[in-house]
Amino acid sequence: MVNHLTHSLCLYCKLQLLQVRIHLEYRADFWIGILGVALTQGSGLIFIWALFKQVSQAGGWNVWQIALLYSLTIIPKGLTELLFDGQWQLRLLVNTGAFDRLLVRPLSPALQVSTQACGIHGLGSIALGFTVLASAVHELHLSWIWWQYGFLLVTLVSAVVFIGSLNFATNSIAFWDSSANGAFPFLIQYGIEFTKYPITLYGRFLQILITWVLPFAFVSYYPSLILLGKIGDQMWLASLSPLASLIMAFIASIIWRQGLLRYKGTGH
Amino acid sequence: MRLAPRQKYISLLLTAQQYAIAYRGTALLNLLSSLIWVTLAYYLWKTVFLTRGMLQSFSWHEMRTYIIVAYAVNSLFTFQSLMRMMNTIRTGDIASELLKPIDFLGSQLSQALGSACIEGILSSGIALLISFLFLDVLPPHTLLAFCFFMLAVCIGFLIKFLLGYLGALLCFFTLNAIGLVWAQTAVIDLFSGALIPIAFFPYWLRQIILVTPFQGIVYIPVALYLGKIQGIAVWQVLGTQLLWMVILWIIARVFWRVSIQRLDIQGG
Repeated sequence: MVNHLTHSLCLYCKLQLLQVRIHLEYRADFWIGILGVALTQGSGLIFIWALFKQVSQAGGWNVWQIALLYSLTIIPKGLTELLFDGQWQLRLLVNTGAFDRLLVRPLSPALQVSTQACGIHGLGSIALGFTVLASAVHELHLSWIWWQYGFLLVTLVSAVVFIGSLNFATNSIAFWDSSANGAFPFLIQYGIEFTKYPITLYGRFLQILITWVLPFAFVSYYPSLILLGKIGDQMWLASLSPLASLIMAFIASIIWRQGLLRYKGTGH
Repeated sequence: MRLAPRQKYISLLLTAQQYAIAYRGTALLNLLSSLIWVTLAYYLWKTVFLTRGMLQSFSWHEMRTYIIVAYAVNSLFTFQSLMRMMNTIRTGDIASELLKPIDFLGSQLSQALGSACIEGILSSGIALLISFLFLDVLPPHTLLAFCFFMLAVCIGFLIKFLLGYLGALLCFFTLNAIGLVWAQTAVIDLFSGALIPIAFFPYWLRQIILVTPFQGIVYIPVALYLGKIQGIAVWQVLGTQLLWMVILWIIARVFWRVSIQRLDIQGG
């Protein structure tokens, strides 16, 4: 079992490195991708900056606290793009019948689909995110104890698991509707935008939606409460982040499995 | 029997309309994704306006209106239209396009207009629905303001189209179309006023934006709608918008010529 796991991990790394090499062959394109992503995420930051030129704080959050929250969202997002972007190819594979080829290989289909592509542009998000995170920690004069650094690591890892699992689950719609395009998975995953800002600013309905239905809030908002030292009755929810990610991973694996069972091929 | 030129472009426009109607599900999902941004902007600005009644001569009522009208205006030329233009060049379909007795710019414009008709109806419909159900937006300042608004929307659409066209021509020189799309969308969204009214940017940035065509896409039409621009200034902004449209059209023509010649030299 462990042997199988390490074997899979080894293969995953090798296949992903192949994808990375493909991207690095076209240097200009590589930098354009990173620039594109950096500009997209950066425009959100510019929005916050312009917003906070008008007021000094909003709903108990100042500009650097929101910047920290923002970075806690875009870092795992970038990492997920780096690791799990291949899932977006699933509908193309199913549509053209190429998925059958994957199924006859002695490798888990999930592994193969994940390594179909590498979102190298995610590096732009990661770099921007860490820069903003470091700046925010400096500006807010946050002095974290050792366990808070550990908590940051756990937060980022569980966020990557969460976003990656959601990616898996939503793109599996290709098994049910092979003519579907990426609009539906994109829409669901776009909900991550809600966690770039404190959810207390939203209406009640929305808060409940992104805490308990599509638990995006566990990606960055609740952990940020601990990292920013915002004491309150919602702090205990922060400890649930890893659990939320594990539940999402579990659900995603079920959806994936059901999709695979359903798959009959397009008859090529 | 040779078709007169005008019938060619009209038939392209109609085909694009039919395509948009056939794929209205996708169009709808993409519009919903944009609505996520609208929701975020609404709540964030609401929080900011709680502490201050008027900001940069915008009242909260006007700001709500701005967000929803900017959304409708910005949705006329979508991500999909931009990708379609880029994909024609990226995939090499441009070779068969060059064989057709149709001007490439003209054919792309016809298709963009065709899609815009349908997507415009969808986005306006959604905007009106939200306006009356949730947001209570302001009607146009005056009937005259509304006429200026519609004129500015048309010119703004053409500006956005031409900017997209220029971006698509860059696909002759790079493979990473999606990176270009992200970069272009981020810059245009930010500086056109789609994310934030230009008035909220600091003075130095406003001065820079004044010498670019971007604000003609969203900010000027919506400002006209709200009646923020009066008297002689209306003709000044419309004139500037028109001037930019002409400049961009000329640049598009020149760049096209340059790109095509380069294509030939590389052994096409």
